[in-house]
Amino acid sequence: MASLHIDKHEKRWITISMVLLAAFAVLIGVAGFALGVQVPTLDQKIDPAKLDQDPEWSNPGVREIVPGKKYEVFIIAQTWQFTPREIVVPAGAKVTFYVTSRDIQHGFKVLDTDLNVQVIPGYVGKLSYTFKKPGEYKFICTEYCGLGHAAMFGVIKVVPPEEYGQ
Amino acid sequence: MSSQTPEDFVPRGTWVIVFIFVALLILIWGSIYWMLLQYGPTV
Amino acid sequence: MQNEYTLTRAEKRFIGWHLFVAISALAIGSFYGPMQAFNYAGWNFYPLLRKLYIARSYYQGLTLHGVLNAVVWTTFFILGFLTFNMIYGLKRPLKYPKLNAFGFWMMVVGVLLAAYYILANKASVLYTFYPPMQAPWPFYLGLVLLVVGSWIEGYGFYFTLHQWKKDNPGVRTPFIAFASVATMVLWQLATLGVAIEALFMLLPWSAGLVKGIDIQLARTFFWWFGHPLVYFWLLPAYLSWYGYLPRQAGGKLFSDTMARLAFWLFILLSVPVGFHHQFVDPGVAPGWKYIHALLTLSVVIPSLMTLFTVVASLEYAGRQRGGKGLMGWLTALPWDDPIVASQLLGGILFIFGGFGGIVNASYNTNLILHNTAWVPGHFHLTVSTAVTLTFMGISFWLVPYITGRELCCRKVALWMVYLWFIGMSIFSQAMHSLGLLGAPRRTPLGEAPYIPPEWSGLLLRVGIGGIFLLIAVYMYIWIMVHTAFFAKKAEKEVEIQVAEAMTDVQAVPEWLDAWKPWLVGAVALLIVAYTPVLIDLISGMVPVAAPAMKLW
Repeated sequence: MASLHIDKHEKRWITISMVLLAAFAVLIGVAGFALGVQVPTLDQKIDPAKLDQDPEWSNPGVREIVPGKKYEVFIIAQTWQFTPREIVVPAGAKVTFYVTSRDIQHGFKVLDTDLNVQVIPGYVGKLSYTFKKPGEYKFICTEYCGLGHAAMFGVIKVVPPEEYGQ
Repeated sequence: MSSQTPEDFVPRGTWVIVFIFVALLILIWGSIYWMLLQYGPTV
Repeated sequence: MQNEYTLTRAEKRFIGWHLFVAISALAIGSFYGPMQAFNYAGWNFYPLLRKLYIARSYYQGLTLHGVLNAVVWTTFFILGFLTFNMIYGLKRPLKYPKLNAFGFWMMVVGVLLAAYYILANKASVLYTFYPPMQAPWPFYLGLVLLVVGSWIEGYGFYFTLHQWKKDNPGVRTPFIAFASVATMVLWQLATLGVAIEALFMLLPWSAGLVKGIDIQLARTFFWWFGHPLVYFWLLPAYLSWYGYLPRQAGGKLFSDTMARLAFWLFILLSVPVGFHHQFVDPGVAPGWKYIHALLTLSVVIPSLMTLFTVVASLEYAGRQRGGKGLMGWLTALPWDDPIVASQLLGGILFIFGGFGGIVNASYNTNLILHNTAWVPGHFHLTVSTAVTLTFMGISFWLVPYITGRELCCRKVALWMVYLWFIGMSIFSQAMHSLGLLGAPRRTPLGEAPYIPPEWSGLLLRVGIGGIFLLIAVYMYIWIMVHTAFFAKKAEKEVEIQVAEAMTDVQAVPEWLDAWKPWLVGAVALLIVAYTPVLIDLISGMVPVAAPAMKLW
């Protein structure tokens, strides 16, 4: 049986390519699974038509879990607004976002952060972030959802920890 | 006119192109990866 | 030089019909692209377009742009070009020409059906038609007909190759025919995903037979299809870069074996990668997303192989043309031949598309880039330049070949190719930068209230790119119309420049020339990469109804 004859230049190039791609694979694996720069996960599934009957989702917004350290934010996306549209959290705290949709697909992306979730009705996406710098961080809808899509946004106000709660 | 026959041909300039490709790839990929790490953990 | 085979008038006309539909779609679809780019720059024509009934909204325009350019222009051009390669490559007619014709007309009916609903503003769902947004059920039926029609043309290719192999035992399939069949096989595997979504979810749901469907599941079936779709677009361009360009540039193909191996690897690796479009979906586990990321990085390899083989072939061609020293071959290439320049310039921007693609594949980097303007920045380099410019370059010889007329205006064609290159470079670079800053895709940024002033320079550059592209695309249409219908008759037949391989085709191991191992491997990988997640999603479906509100 004949063996595959590859030109030695091509062979060298394929080897270099594989080493490079393997390096990328390792780096992203380390970042994702060791350093915690991870993609969103599933919190739970939920009937989008029954959000108002759910104890958490009937009351979206910010929850203080550990003052100054841990917060949770429940956000509902719908055509064409986020609820809540304005969120206030202190800098330096870990904020976990739970995002779902009341109707169709939306996007949830917080500018100047790595928060980015595809918002799918029936599914609650979960992702966390620690805002190190105080300021205003806009969050926008990134998935086409009809004529009002371009106006669908909100803002996260990150205040210095000593000012939070005032 | 070049009198290279196919059997004589050895890619040389190709390696220059491919080297530039690898350098740019590492630069671009690296800068995005760096951006990602700067933003920080999400778990 | 005499061509080795001559197509009949009927065959030329059949291919011509494909190109006619393709180029007509491009002519209409490409109007809306620049309109979007102008909106970004603050030159909003949509109120005027609404008054003239050319576009009811930015999103109807975007749907037309995506469907006509990314689905109709591509699919019909590809099938026409591959039909040519089957007949010319195998030096025989299609085995069942009526079967292929049936497939073609089914595709046309499908397109007209879907187009009606889009034009009536009843299906402004964009070319991804994500549920729960819902179009009327005939829209989805139209898409099904388009896909099934394309399968049928593919079956016609398989029957033809099968007959050829029986008549030519032990002979290697000519490359351009092999690559054509490989493309259709890939397409068959890819479209199973969207066919399942359409037939079992979207059609019954939009027809009212089923109240709700699971949205994460629908997305997963779509992206099973959506990634290999880009290889359906790319492989015919690679076919030209391997199978024609080396000779068009004045040389030979550096390695026939590597060209074939690349195509086999695409069959194996193009499908089990769809989760890289779903990296930030909640309903798919991170582990599976990472596995697809690894597979996606693997499918980069045949493209990197292509880089080396094609550039080496071009280096040989340039040296044959007198290029001296280390890099003289590069400038010695025929940059003033629109057929060659289109492919070279397409290849250059494809390199940058490749950088972006590798970044997109890299799992968590997607956190920064998903659904941002970076994504259309990326694919305007790949499908809209590498593939589209290459197809335009192909049409510069294929249309004269089938019409018997000369390419009307070589200088205009050359200008057009360079204008396209410049326009796409400006547009795409600005879009990539906007994406890194967080600008969303699929959004009329000219109207979004949250745009920071720092973005305005980039938004302007998007508009400027749009100006170049608007001019270039209609230059192309003009060239095609003129060449097809009004140019003077050519004195002799267009020379079909199928490339020769540099070294004699050597004995190769059986597994490199046999379909079965690769097909079995492709199906096995697909099953492994998708079954666990599909089972998980199907066993826990959350039915979601269409929204009550009218969205567009």
